[in-house]
Amino acid sequence: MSVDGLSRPNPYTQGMRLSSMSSGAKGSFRIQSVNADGPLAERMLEMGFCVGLTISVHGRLPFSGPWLVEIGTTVLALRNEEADALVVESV
Amino acid sequence: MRHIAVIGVPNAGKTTLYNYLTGSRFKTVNYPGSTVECSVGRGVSAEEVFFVDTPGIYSLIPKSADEEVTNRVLLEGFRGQAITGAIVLVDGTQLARQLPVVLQLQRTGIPMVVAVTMADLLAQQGVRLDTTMLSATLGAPVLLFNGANGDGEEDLSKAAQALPFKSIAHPPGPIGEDDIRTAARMAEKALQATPNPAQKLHAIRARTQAMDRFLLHPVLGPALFLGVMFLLFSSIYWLAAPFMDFIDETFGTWADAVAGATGPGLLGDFLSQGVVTGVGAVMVFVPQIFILFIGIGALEATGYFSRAAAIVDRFFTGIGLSGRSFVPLLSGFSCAIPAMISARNISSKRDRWITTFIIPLMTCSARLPVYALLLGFLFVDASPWIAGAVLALLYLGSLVVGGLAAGILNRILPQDKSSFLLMELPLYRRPHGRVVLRQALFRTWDYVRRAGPTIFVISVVLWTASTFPNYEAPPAERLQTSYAGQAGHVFEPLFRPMGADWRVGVGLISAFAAREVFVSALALTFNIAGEEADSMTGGVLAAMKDATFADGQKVFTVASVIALMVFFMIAMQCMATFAVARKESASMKFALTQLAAFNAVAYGLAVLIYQSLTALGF
Repeated sequence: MSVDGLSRPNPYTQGMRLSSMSSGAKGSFRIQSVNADGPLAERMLEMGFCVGLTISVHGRLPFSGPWLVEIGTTVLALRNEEADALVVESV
Repeated sequence: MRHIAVIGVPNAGKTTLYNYLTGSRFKTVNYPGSTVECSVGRGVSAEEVFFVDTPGIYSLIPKSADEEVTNRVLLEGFRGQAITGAIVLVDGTQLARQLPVVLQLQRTGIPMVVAVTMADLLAQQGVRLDTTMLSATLGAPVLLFNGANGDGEEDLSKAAQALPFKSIAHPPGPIGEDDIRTAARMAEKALQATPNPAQKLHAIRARTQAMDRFLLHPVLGPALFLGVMFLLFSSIYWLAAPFMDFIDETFGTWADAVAGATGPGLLGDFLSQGVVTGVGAVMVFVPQIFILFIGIGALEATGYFSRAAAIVDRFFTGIGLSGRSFVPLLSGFSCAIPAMISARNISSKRDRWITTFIIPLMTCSARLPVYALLLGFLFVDASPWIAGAVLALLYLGSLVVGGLAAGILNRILPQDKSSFLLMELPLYRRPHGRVVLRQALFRTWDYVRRAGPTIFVISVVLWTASTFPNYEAPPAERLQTSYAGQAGHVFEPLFRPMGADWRVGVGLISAFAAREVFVSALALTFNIAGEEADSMTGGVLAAMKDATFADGQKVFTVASVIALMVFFMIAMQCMATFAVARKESASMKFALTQLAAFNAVAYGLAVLIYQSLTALGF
């Protein structure tokens, strides 16, 4: 794996939306696709979310709060709608 | 002389770098037509350069008010001066994520120098970056910068000064997927010389990760946060109070001195009671605003508030806001003025608008003397716990009303497609004292400069209304027959439904100057003499017990006092808040709507409560 985490996603694995995972979900995942349009799509790209990126999911904040997603050396808090745009596969 | 913009992603250490570049000697101004802050200052190691600090961006194509300003500064220049070069920052520990902005900037054709920050963190872990290779690939100087001690500032300044004179050639285009991949490849190559770079970079976040286990803990997190905010707000009292008393006394002394110098008469009174007191009315807020700015600024700089915002975001999306509104709203419980000013940090224009609108509904600390008086009347013999519980209810009530107001505004205002959270939880950092101090000073001065004139004018008007036309009479009579007193009489039919008589009415009108004035106005209208707060309160309480309307009915009943408390909880408070609201929203209509709406709702609720409680026999 490269330092930034960019590698090709597996075309044979069924991806799942990050938002559909259980609240306690933790672990490394690779982004298969980013399903969003308009400003959200642009913004997600600008924040570094792109196909092939490996992210580390640290679960959700309480009361169905934001998802904590680690990219490289930073952690981002994502709302459910934003997590919904990420289709990922396990690594 | 040339103007060079300092551009970078939020949390990359731009403010620190900027302070080093300019030796912390810069002028902060609000970008024309907005309250977004921009700074300009001469380089200490580059005397022919003015460095222009721009708000942090995730892309040169704007999606927020902040990004719009950076975009406009680049394209149109700053205060009529074209930007002929840029220092663009990237966080050395997040190279892959932040290089796309550099690529985006590079395509605009503006000459640039790349500053790689967090050099200290990189060195600590033994991470070596191949800046030569980056420089060759980007076609621009790439220099390391250590924010902890300022190493690298000189080289950066000189490199910036040596840039060719050229302003932007092409407007920026969006960041694309190829930019992300190119950036990733570049970062990988730059780290080639370091063994095991991923692990080392991860180690940089270790301490932050450990702290987040507590601060993002479902129970400990919010508890700690509330504890911190409570400490901050209560410090307003024991830290700011002596200064506020000092300012009160000083202006009181000056007022006397002026009165003494001009002798008895209208001019003397106008100057001492109207003018000097009016200025005092502006300045008395300064200590508490300044301290709040320092506290909030320092906490912000540590990166802590993004955690708080993440924890509460869930609850705010329900009313159409985001977690970023949390700290400004919470600050409103202390004082609406710094709260509205700190709402500038909210990136979404719509969120910011709604937040600034509902901040005055967060019942502020200036109302406490009024609550104390009214609660003292209600619970004269009861245990303090009941009074405390009612007070807590009032605070809760203001939260509920605020939430309702936000919900309503959310439905009325058009949707904002570009409202997201996508919030970075940066590394925890120790704030730089000098930087925090400077920003607090600027924002405090900003308040004085922008709100001062309005507050002053209203103060003079109120003084005139409560002094004339019976200027010669003794104070109590003078107030009772003044324009304000007459207004109180004229409007008594209006006050009656909520259980107030003309005296309370006069108090309410005067309280627009400052909430606490209600107590002293009541004292005057009830002819209570005495300078001592305690004896005055005692006297007022006794008078309240016996006060009756013209028809003999008691004025202060349980019903009317509760109605009055609710009125104070919601009604648009003071002229200072009005003035600041006007400036922060850049719209008189905004401030007037706030004033009218809140007072109308407060009145309606007060009437409702009074009538129903009276019907129930209270």
